[in-house]
Amino acid sequence: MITEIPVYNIETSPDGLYHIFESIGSQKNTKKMVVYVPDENKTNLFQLIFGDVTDDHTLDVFAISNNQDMKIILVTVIQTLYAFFEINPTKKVFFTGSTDARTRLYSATISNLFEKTEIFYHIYGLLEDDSTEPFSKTGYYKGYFIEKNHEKRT
Amino acid sequence: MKKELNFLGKDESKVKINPNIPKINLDTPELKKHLHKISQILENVKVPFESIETP
Repeated sequence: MITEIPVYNIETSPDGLYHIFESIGSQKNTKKMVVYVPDENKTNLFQLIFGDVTDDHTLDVFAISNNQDMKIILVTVIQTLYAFFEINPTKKVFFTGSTDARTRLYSATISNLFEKTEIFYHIYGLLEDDSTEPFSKTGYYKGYFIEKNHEKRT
Repeated sequence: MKKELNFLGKDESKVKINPNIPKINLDTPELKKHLHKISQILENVKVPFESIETP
């Protein structure tokens, strides 16, 4: 066990591209979905997006739930990487916040989580000047590239 | 809510495969705009994995 972090139960589609879970708040519960969408330009690269499932069956990536569970949600989102890569082991993922403000808000939590997952994934950070570097906990990134680490799996 | 997050996923009960996950519509103007924005960010980025190809 790496650490104890709460995580919501996840249901995953057989192709590993859709993951649904429920954010539990004191006032309301909110259905959330993580979707891995093929990038329109780069083969084998998938964009990780997530948000609230709306009443008309679409995804609101800008929704604000105010359930005070951002960290649990982010842990759950990161957890979906496991299922995605189990089913799509050769694919790669790009992850960023839906807005610049959210990317900044998520940064510290994501860095802590990625530090714990480094042995399972290769992670690169996208810098402001559009260059990349191997992930460092102290780096500030506007996005993350992730692939499964096929070498160090224990 | 589950405790003891296992990033290795050896406990498969933490992620349940469900073939009946409700399909959602990703083909909305807002989502298409958002996905396109990310693609634009990535367009000039050299992705740091060898097997990534730009058609």
